[in-house]
Amino acid sequence: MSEHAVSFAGGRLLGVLTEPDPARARKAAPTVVSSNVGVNHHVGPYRFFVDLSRALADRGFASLRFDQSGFGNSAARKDTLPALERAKDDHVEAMKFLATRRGSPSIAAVGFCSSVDVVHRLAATDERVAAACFVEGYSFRTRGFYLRYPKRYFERARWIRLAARRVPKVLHRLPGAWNLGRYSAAFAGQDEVFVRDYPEPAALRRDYDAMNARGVHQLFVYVGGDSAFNHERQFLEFTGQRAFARTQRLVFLPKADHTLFRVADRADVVARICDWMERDVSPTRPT
Amino acid sequence: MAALFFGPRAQQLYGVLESPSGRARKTGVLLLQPGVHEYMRAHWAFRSLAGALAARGFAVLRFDYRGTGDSAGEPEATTFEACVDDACVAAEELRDAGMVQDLVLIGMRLGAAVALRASAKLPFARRVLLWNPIVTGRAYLEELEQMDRALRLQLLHALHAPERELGGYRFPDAARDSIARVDLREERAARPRRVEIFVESAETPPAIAALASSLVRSGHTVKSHRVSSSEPAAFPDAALLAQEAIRTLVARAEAAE
Repeated sequence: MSEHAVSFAGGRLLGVLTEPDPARARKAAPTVVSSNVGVNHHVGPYRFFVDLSRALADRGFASLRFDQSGFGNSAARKDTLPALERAKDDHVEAMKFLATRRGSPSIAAVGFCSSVDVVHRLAATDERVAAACFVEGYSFRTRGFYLRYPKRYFERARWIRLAARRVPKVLHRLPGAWNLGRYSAAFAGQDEVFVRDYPEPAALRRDYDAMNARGVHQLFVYVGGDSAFNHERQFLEFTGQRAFARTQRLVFLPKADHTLFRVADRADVVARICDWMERDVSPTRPT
Repeated sequence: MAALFFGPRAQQLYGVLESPSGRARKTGVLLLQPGVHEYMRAHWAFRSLAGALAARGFAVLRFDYRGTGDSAGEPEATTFEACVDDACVAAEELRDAGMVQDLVLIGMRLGAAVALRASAKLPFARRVLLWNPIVTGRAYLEELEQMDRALRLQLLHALHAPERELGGYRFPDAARDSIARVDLREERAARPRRVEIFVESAETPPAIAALASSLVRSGHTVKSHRVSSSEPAAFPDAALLAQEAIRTLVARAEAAE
């Protein structure tokens, strides 16, 4: 494996290109591309994209992790395009760079939380996107979601959290196993912080149909925790699909949380993405 | 701004070098980032600080310690001593690539401890600026563990605390043990005679006061600065902006020449 610090779009965008050893490289495979999650730089939450890039290289895949304009190490743009259009344009620049550097603009785009927006938009419309992975992507609460919702009342971890939140402020600084100290107040109202504009379910369904028609491989990774997703079937419920398309795979990890805080959960998702790349996206073995 | 990999072939470090704008100074600035979750939080602040310093004519290098960020290696390789070694490699890189004669080291939190230890090995380090320094590794670990408990509780992982993880990161015993041994009050060998301490706090914490006293006793000239902070109280993932601290640090780096 080798890693190179790269810049493109006239030096405005910076990233790291990870390439497998030539002997095991899958030369026809699309390059895996990732960018920023929220305001995190391209390394990703808990170094997720670095671990993913290196695991992919072990399986023969190249990857580019980069910072969008104005994020991480990349320079800001001087225009006034909306955020999503800027992100899309930055990814187009990434594909142009890969066409020059690696001989093909074809990519497998990985979105995580907020970066799902640009990956979704590109996968629905850009022929160069051969595959798209959506980690904690779009989800809508369905009747099935609400019917399954009461199951969470049987989870001990939720009751412990509720009790801890009820600890009077005066006790916060007391030492002890559950001393929440100054952090407990900081979490109050966190559920309201991360709000984005979602496409309407009907538009989402049209986009997925377009991806399926073009043969774009899709991997959806959803978690339990406090997410708005609580069963594999929920995807079919909110898209109105009768079954998963041949090009769609879904992984539901009920014990993981939105940020993949636990090392084992991240390792699991990394392995699932690598498996998907190997089995679905580019099954051809290196020659 | 130029990103680069540097250092020994088997242990490449990822860094970002800012070239000075305008008249280049003969002094460069090496930025030592904090550790664990604070590394992510502080990335934007370090980019801003590097940009502000470059605009004042400094060549600036910020980099990822081995096993962190984009640098090679796994967290198992990341001990405090390894971070100090990486800082020395980065200092040499900055002298070569930035074409500077001497350096100011600016370190934040755990990076401040790295800066102080590394400065003893760098004859061309003129001044060390410690930004919210951790003073003892044990107190820092206790703080991390408290944050870890709160995060696991919030994220519904309170029932099973995996071993050798902290704040969502792999945190092997070697890293924990090496940090536990850190006590800046014992760092007698720091070479630059001038050390400045910056604290984003309304009052000087007792540990910081003790650090200043011990540095003075060992022959250093110490200047302390209290900087107002507009940061959200404590949300462990919130990005750090630190505009006031950055202004003060830039001014003091300029004063070093």
